[in-house]
Amino acid sequence: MSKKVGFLLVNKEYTLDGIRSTLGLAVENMYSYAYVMNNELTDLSDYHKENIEWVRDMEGEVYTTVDANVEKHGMVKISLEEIGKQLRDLEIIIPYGILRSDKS
Amino acid sequence: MKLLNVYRSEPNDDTKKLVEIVSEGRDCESFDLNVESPDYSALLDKVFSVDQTICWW
Repeated sequence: MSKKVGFLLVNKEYTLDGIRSTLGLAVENMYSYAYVMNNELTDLSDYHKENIEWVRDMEGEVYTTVDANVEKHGMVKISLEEIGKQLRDLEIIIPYGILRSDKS
Repeated sequence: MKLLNVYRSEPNDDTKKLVEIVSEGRDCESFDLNVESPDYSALLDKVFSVDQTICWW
């Protein structure tokens, strides 16, 4: 049975890797969603743009709380409260990447 | 629905808000890994006693 999975991406250094992991679970027949929170992505390579498109093709989505990511990369805008509500319906929640600056 | 929130570090305002929304109306426990010697045995017991575990940053 397909599970619903969400990646919470707060660390810019790990965001693109997290989107790739979102796609990885989508191709494993899961409903997979990425939430890019509080970090603005600079120019994306064609590879990463394709990853986002493929997530959508697999019935997932890449959401963001940051307006610049909506305007520059076509991500879907979402608020922190809306993320919380969506998380209640997910079976697996993955706060992805190390938040602390020392990475220990 | 039993939920376990595991914290790797001190939760910030965003984390607190998300935990509040996700935990509303649910039977919740928490476990703090941000201590000198976490009791991993106790953590395992908690993980196997709940329906869902979220390991926050």
